[in-house]
Amino acid sequence: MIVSLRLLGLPKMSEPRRLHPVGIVLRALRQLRELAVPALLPGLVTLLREGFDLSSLRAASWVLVLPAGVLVFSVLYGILAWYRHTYWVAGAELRVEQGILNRKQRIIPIERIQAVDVSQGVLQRLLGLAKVEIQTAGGTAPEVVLTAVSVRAAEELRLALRRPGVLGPVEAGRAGQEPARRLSTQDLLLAGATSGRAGVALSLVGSVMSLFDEAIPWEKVPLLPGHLGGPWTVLGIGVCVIALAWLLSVLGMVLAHAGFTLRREGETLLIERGLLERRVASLPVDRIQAVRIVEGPFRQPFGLVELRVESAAYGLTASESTVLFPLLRRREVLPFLRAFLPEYAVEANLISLPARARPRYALRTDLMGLAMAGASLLLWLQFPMGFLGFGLPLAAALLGLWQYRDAGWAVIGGSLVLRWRTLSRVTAIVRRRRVQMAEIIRSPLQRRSGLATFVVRVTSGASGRAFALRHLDARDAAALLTWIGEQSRKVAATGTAVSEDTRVSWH
Amino acid sequence: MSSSPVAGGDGRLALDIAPRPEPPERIDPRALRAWQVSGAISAMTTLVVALAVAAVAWRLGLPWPLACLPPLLAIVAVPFWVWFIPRVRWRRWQYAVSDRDIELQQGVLIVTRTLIPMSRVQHVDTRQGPILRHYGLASVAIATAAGTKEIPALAVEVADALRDRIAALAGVAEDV
Repeated sequence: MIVSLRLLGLPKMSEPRRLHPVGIVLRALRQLRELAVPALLPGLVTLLREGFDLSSLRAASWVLVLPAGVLVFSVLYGILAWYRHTYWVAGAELRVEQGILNRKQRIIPIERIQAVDVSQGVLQRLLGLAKVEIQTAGGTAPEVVLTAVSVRAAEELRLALRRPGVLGPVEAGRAGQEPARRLSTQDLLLAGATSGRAGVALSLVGSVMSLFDEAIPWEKVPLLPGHLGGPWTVLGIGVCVIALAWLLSVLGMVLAHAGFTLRREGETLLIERGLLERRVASLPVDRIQAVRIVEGPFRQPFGLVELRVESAAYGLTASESTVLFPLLRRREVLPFLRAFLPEYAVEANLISLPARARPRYALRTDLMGLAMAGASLLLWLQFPMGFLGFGLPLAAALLGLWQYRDAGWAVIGGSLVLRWRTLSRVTAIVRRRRVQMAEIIRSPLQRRSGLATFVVRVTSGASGRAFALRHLDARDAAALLTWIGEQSRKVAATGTAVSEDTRVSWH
Repeated sequence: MSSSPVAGGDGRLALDIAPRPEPPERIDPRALRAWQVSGAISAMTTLVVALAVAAVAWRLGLPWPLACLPPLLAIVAVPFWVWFIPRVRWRRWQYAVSDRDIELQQGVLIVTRTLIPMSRVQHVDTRQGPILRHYGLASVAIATAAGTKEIPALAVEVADALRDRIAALAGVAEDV
């Protein structure tokens, strides 16, 4: 689609260019929306006060002339704003100039750009247009938004904004060798079916149902004679609700990830996806801060995983944007990373946690655990069937044991691998030179049993992301702290870019 | 990823690196007095609020044991605020700044050690509120792309020197 366009006979990127003329309409509409209330309110008030009689001059002026004036103003404004809004690439910088009265020129060094996103909604696809969003580090909103440019211009801009000095496939003529992978339709449906988002959809459906539950006098509905509340009816409704939620989650996955394609062009990863709205995100490889392998509870039994990346450009916005690939077999992960992100292709035998950490996982001693214990005790004392309430802490304890079994860590070359489970099992691979901060946290109970929680923080979005492993041996945690500290000696000593030893160690 | 974890972690060091020793430096002893003063101010404020709540509750006709509860709780909290917590906090606070990294250890009940590689420091500030200023103290705030950490209550000269040193060291190291 967008990315497959070729650079043939296009005008130079160094000339200032405007958005597509459709941009005028978009700008005018935005202006209209902002002015809608002041434009229509006086008219409405007049109409309400004086009745629908347009013959009087005053009424006509408020009702018609003001909105008409605002319309004309908005169109003119749209034209002017469009005319003054230009962008071009000058040397190693992107320059954007805009503003009618207050003109501002923004200069963004290409090396500061964290990601370039090209997206097309349904309407934009019909018109052959695209929206370009350019992200720099640490922002909550994109630094530059070009709402409507032609697909060709978008592609050209994207190519122009790649890292200087890196030959892309077009120039190098080796497009065939660049790794690329497309999510098959079968895998897309499989990803939707096992995403576990049904749980989220379920709570949505459930809360809507409970709204209706109070509003509808069920006992008066003739189709449901008598045995509403009978076990079979309840079961039937339950099954229907779950099926509906599950279908919704599959649909959501199809909409977001249909045609998911990942490819690597030189030092840039391109992620293209979406059924109705197509999006192409381009992510410089050297901006990736960590890789996460996520095995959801419905995927792990089938050996399926999802790959995510942390990047300085994203994190606060939709978590969708960090999906590197929605569905892989577990055995495919290593070859996949070798092809796309060789730095992160590490294979490790994880070191599991000491046995004395087991009870700490099984018995939650935090507020959540206490609240749960209190609630079940209360249930037990208050209701005849209340002992069933103890199922909750029991389930939590079993989950805790499961979490204990899966938790582990390893250090391979310059990479730290942490694995933990909340509900999904997550394996995070962090390069040492990407670590912003490392922490050891010890509660009084942990101090007594020689355990510690180890946390590494990496840049992600505006605030950073923390990966934490609970209850590892306190001395191991302190050794990890030594290990994290060792990198900076090299950096500080040479004062140059880090070229740390470790490529990959596989066995 | 291999899914079979190696057994271990018990009784031996899994990583063949010595555990990092605790950071040696302590913060200025005057910090204790500064914290006690700010603790006392917080305690007084809370006490006043609690008394107001109690007065309102009394007026609304709540039974007096219930109405007296907030000020009682506030009074019980005073020694903690003014005496116990600042003391433990001071005893726990340790830090170290080397050419390579910055390490902080802090916490009252839950103790946190933080390691910041020098190359990750984005900028350093010194900060001083009215209480710290009165005692000739200042804190040093160290910002990275993943958040800011603070070394509280150093003597002003020490804080300024530390700030300049960290800035120089961080400037040498590589940019993110």
